[in-house]
Amino acid sequence: MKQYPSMSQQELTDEERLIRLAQVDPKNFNEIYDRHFDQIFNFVYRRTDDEDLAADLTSQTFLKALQNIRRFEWKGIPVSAWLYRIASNEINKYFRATNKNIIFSLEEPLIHKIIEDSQEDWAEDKVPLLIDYLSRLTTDEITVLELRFFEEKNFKDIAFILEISESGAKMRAYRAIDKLKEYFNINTKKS
Amino acid sequence: MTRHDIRFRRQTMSSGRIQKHKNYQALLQRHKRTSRMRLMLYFIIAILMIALAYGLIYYISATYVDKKTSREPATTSAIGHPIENLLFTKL
Repeated sequence: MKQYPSMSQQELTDEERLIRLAQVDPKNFNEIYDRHFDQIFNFVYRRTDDEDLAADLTSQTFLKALQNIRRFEWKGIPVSAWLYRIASNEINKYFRATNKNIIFSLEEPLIHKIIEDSQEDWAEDKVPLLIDYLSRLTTDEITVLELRFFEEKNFKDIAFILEISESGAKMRAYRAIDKLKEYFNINTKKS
Repeated sequence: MTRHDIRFRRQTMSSGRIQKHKNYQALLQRHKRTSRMRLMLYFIIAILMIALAYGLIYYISATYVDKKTSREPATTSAIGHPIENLLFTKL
């Protein structure tokens, strides 16, 4: 499995400085907002498939972050993971309140990139199959896969975002990959 | 198990389109508004708590005085004010 690097010490120190500044004065939150807006918007959009709703939930995410920035304790976890956790909670809250199905809207260019990175022999006709197999996974499993491959998060960050242990996050990801492999093997044998 | 739908998008959302939704000033205004509302809520809760505490103290002291006066009517009438004596003897 491809390794997504953690942040460097320099980057973490810089983030810590930004958080300290924002804790002193909320006006300094601007830089955190600018740095992470696109990333969080894309994440929310991927989970809602609705541009206006994604804009609302992203705004709500940053508002919650701004309201709680003073309570944020620096423990070496990047601020983006904290924002992802808030966004994830806001998305879940929305789907619980509306009683709708959770959505995973996956972009074709990203799927192709992941396939290219895996360096496996992939035929174009396998993409619809992948979509079908992904829908057979549990929501917990697909959430971990999404964070891992589409958001390119490492397991430490995934564990923090989903409020589970790091080993739990790894277990979910490997179990999901095993299931996908199994589905593909069954399909290959059939054809 | 939670239900979910997998959808397939042909294109990634462009950065320019995301920028349309970016508005830090609006966020800051919203933050100020919600902070003000939260402060007002805390203020109202504090007033209610004080009122409740005051009412409780008043109620406790009133019942305590009532009990005390009903327990010692003789001594009170012996040394009390003439009007009080009159009231207690009537009771």
